[in-house]
Amino acid sequence: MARFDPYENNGGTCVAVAGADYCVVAADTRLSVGYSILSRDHSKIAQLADKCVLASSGFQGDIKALQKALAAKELVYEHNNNKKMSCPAMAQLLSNTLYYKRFFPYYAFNVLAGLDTQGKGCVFTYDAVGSYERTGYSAQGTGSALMMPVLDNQLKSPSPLLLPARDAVTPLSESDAVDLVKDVFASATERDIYTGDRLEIVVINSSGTCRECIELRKD
Amino acid sequence: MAIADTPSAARRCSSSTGWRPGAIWPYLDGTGPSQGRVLCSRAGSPSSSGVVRPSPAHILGSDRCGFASGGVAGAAEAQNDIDVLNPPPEVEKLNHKKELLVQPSSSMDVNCQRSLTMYPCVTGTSVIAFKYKDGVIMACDTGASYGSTLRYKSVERIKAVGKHSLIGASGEFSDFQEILRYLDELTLSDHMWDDGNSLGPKEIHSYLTRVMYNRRNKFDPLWNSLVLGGVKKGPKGDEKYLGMVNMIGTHFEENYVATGFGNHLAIPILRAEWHEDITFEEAVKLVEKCLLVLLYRDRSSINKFQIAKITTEGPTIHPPYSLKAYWGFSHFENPAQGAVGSW
Repeated sequence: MARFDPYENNGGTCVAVAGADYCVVAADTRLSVGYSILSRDHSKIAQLADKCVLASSGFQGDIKALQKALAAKELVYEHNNNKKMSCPAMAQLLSNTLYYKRFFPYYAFNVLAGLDTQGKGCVFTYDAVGSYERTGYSAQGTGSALMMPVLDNQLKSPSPLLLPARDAVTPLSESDAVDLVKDVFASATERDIYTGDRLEIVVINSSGTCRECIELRKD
Repeated sequence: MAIADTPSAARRCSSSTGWRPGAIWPYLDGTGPSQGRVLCSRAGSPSSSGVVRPSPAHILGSDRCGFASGGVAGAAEAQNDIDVLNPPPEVEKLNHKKELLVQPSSSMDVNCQRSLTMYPCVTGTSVIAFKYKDGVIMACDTGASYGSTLRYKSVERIKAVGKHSLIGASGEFSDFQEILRYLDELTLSDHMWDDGNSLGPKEIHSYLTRVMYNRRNKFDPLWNSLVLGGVKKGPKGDEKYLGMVNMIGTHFEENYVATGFGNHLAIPILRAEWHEDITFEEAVKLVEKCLLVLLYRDRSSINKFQIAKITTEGPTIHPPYSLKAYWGFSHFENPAQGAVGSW
């Protein structure tokens, strides 16, 4: 008798790009299981604080539980400290929450993005058990391997190998970054079966958060 | 699943008066201590007439000598008087038993009396549902299979939950009954608040998601795919809701859902032909189209379906009915035509 598998991969890709004073977070809206599509309109993005957004791909049951747990912890923080959590603080909290389940992990590949306390764009990228790093841009999920090389090439960010270490945010403008993200998703949709249907783009800047949706290929 | 029936448990139950459960059951051949013969009047049986016949001690056991040896007619009857539930140790030793030196590893933990779900036993097949103009329509067949046997043919796999929702389930039927018990408790305690508010489909879907996910975390899943549909008045008027949860907690909301085989056979039809504000008549035609495909192609489906709908007036589960299926294909009528066999 085959034992039941507590995990399944519901697919999808998430991307975040940090700029000097803005941050772009994007994820497709396809929810799959095996070779079937369960929903073409399922959001992977959760707004945790006013300047902090989490995009996750992987096993959707774990993702929703993780997002709920973080939202609850953020609320407790607000009640205790009389202010909303900053993006770097949320980054640490996410890492700890993931590591707490080190021996039965949340099957979630996360990208946390927003504006830091100085108003500069920040992107934090995670693995399933909580190891994280602040970068200038990141892609996670089934299409990430198709997207990262294109982002590396097109974003014109300073190389992470340079010394002294430079801020990895992209020098591109907000509209250029959004166009690049749309391009990169269109490319990944061509070759990744789990990515497609619709793209949800969230842009965070000093004036707030704005959401945009564009159609992707549905095959 | 077996209850722990260790010899020690049996011995604990045996009474010192020697009363045996078998003592009042008639045997199939008419013999045996039958009705009318109460144990205490055993001495007054016709065959005994006060004579104590020493019966074979190894059968009846020395701890029952008071009643057993006295008044028992003959060897045949003495053998029939074995207390099957609480056999004396001598009788037990005679039976060949496998000596369990090492407890076999199974999902049954005798100490904590809990077993983990390994596989489903009695299962229901697809449920399909979609939103229509007045609410949500849901349909499924009324069969439950025990492996490849179609064991139950009149099973209701769609039930109403409160005033605003319908739940349909595929997968293990006993787990569905357990879920209905949870929902009973939930709706009862909600009703007892008596505050004029009642749980809507969104809330029930959220509750079910948490239940399924938590059971998955304990590696003891409720082996079901649940469909939750309903209508409730919200801030934007009557809001229709339809969602699905599977056994590991994956959940989503959509305009049309299907579980099991329906995911592969019915969803393509719904994707092509469903549209917003479909009327009830059109919805029934569409549902029947999907159910017919499932009937033809899903081996665990039967030709007995139930359609249920939920509107602002409440839930309605229609009585079961059958669809007209076409089997008049020439290949069915003369199957050996193209390939004559040798036997």
